[in-house]
Amino acid sequence: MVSRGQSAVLLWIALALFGLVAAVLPDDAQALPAFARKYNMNCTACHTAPPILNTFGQRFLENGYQLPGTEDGGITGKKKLGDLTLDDVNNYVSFRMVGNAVSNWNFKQQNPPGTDAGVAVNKTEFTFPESFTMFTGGTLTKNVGFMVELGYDTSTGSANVERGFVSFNNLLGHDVAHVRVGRFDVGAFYSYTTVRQQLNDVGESLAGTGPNGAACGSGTFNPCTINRMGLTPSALATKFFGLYDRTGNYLSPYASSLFNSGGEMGIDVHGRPFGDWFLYQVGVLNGANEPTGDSNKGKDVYGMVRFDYAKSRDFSASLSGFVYLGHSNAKVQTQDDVNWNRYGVSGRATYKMVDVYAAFAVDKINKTPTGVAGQFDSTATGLTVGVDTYVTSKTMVSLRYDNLDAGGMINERQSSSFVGTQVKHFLRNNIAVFVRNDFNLRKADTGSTAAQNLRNAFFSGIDVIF
Amino acid sequence: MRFWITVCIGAVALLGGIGIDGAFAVKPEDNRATREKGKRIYERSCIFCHGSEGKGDGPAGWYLGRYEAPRPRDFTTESFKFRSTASGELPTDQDLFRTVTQGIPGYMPSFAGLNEEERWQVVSYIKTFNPSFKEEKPQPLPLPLPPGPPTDAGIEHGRKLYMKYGCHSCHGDNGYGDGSESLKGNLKDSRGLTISARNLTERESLKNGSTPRDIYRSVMTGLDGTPMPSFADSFAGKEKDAWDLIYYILSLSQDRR
Amino acid sequence: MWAYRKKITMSRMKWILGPALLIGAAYGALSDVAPSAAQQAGGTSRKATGLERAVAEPEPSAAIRQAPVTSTAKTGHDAMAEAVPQQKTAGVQPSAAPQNAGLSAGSVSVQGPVIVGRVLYKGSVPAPVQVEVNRDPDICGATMTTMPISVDPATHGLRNAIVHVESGSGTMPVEGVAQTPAIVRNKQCRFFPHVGAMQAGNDAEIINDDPVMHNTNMTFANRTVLNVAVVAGGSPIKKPMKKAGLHVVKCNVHKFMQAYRMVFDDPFFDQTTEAGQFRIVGVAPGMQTLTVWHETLGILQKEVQVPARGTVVVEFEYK
Repeated sequence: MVSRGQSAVLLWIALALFGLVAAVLPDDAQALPAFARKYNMNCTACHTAPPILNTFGQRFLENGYQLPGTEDGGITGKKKLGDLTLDDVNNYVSFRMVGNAVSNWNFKQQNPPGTDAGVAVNKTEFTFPESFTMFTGGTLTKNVGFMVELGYDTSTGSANVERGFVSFNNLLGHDVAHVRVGRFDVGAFYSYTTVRQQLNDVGESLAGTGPNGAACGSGTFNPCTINRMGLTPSALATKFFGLYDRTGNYLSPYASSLFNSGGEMGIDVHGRPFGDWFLYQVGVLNGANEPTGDSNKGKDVYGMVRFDYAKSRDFSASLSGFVYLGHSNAKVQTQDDVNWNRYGVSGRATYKMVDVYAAFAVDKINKTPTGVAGQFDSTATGLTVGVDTYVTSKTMVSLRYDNLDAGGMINERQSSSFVGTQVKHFLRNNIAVFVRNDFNLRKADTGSTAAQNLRNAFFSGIDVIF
Repeated sequence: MRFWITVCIGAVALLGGIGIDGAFAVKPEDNRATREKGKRIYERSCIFCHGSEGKGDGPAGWYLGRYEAPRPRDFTTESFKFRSTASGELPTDQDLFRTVTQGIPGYMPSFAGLNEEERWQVVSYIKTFNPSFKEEKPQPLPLPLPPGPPTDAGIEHGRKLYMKYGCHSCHGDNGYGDGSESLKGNLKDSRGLTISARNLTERESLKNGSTPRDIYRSVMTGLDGTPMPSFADSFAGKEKDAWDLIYYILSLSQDRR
Repeated sequence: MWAYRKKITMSRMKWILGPALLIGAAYGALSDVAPSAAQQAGGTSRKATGLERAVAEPEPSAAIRQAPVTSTAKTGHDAMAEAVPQQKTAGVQPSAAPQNAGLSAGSVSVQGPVIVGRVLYKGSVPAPVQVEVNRDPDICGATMTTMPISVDPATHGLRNAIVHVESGSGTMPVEGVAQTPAIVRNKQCRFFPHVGAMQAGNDAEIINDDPVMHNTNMTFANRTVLNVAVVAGGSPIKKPMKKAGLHVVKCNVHKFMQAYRMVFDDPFFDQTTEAGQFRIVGVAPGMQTLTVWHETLGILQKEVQVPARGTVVVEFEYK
């Protein structure tokens, strides 16, 4: 615990370190992650503003890690696993390490209630790295791609297969159908994707548990106290308070979920059969029933369409919309299963070094269980609007606005509106340091409601991909 | 889950065998049908950087150099860097084909994933963007074989030429690409963007190819649109000197190819 | 019909000048000069219907407005003029230079009409621009000045402007077109002459008198016309100039070096003398459009009724 004065000093130290590091390190870009190494390309060919994909990177991804318009997996992936030399491993394996080295939380009142009542407090944490992922991906042969991603979360100390899938591409003709099977990002082709955010996801803190609330409410249908809200894009988040999965695990209102979930098991088809302007995507997921092993209970299905303009004048735009229909994928407390659905639209436009994007989603619970009649709001919405722009060839400024009109248990829910700003400086194409500040637009109150007593959060960190 | 995988693998097995590769892929005649096919490939593969009108203004292209050079080629009016022809001339078909096939280290991927015929179709289409391709008949400069293997004396002589011909001004005294003009940011490309001299000790990063004859070609033709001039006139009748210089440049390289 | 022709002409000049000058501005080699030129080019191209007005009321940069006319103002230019004799252009040199507005056709006998005239600049002449010499000061000189606007103080005649009959059709002058190669001489890290005009198809001859390596990089819009190394002691290099347009000449080794070559498809052009005079012969009678280009002052245009025989006098004034 530090006082405000100390906190300001810390902030300045962080900024000074940022500046020093930026000034001292050489800024030529030679180190390249796997795909860049494999194709002998600069990272910025696909990631204008790493980690966000530009149109070229998006089409590369859609094509199963083959260059747009080609089926070059037959050339670039032709080596059999037994023939791989150590040098070749370079072309398949990448690492990403990202975290806030310093984070400073400024509360109107520290939670849980009673602590430092009525006193504005700062809390400064050193945490680094917050997550470390190793991923390998590429093509096994012509039109067969794969990706495996192992993630290690330092705050919970757990390692997981975040993603792992095989893709079969260009079935029935070029770009007609690509199939992914396994654990994949459902919303990877959405105009606003979950895993590629300029402002890193900052998880919520639940009472009595680690920062990500692993144990709180697990299997008990007990509501968790949210000590500190998460800073997830509102359009992608769960949005409901008092929602559980079918085994009684508390679903954080701030976690990315459904169509926007980070990695879901299922099968998915996408393609651009009519040309570059239109993309379709349909799929079936195990959904929330996966942990219960009760996969016959019902699967989640979704469909998305996306319209693109990506031709000339340094300009691109896309507009996407999806419908995600959950089947028995949640419970309101101990009541009957409900179907939790989401309808979303998102758009993105890029012009030269400016990238503007927005996403809006409506979440609906198909019925209010009788036991919570009158206490439960079955509709919630989230809006996220952002803009990123380079101000020099190495420095990017981002701005993001989030508005969450929360649903769920009326006595628990808290809506929120935040503005996040970030300055990110690329020391190399794959190493960036950043400072970020998230400011609560709604009036900060005393009390136990995390969304409203967090006034401000400041982060300084590093993002390394190699 | 297993069921779905089985379905998928089955589907792939069925569909994978449908396409039959053309067994007689040769350079197709440059006619309307060829250009149309090239256009279709261009609009799937090239458009994101080079733009639908070939102006180098595709939505992903700006980002390659951010605020610095290089940018994707503007096919409509600009010069072409990678040629076998004299400075100021257009490239030959084979030059364009080579760039499409080999890519440009760091900036453009190899499109060897397109088959030979498809690459020729793209070349035909690219040429429609600049009407000069109809008027001009670019002729390649001679690209001779080296007169002999490198010798100590020749490399020594090459070093002298390297200094005399001002290579060090941009590429640096030791070839690291750290010549004073490059370090100070004085080098600009035809769009006025800052461009840096190549590090000659990393041969595989050389954009116009890294073999001895590739480097010979770059020195003779220059890279139009960049500060790199053509030395063809300087070396006219002195090809042995040119090879001494090339062998000296090769001797600097840490790459073993 | 008239308006149509005018539009074509102006759009053509815009095309020629706009990109080249903007590139020049970006290079920043002549930091005072290039932006003002770019500004003018921008001004003229924006006002598609009022080119004359835009140029007649130029907005010179602050440097130009405030620069006093000083006695040293001609020194830089003189040094340039004396170093190399005025190059003979492909057009006809005004051999008997008329001194004032009462101009005659001169002593050369020609068939058809003669256009003679002067280009004037009565504004204040900016002081010579000090250019940073960042390389080879022993050869290039420790300091270097450029003098983009060179005016004869007695007559206000503007030197190094290029006058061209836009519509171009006409009878060939009796003297024929001189086939002398247009010289681009590298001497003491300057290009001589600084401005030149030539007819397409003729050779540019690149010469290096300096004991250092130069490269001569000529661009037209954003296409490289030629970029050749001219090593110390190397033989002159001759290259045909194929396309009409404003060619910007630079040396990438010495970023402060810059020159201009205007290439025309026809021989109906001339470059103004030190007294600002020009003379164009062999132009077809009728209404013709004359365009004047100057590297920093921009473009002026005038419609001229050319008689079947005799002399027509045209005066341009940059304000």
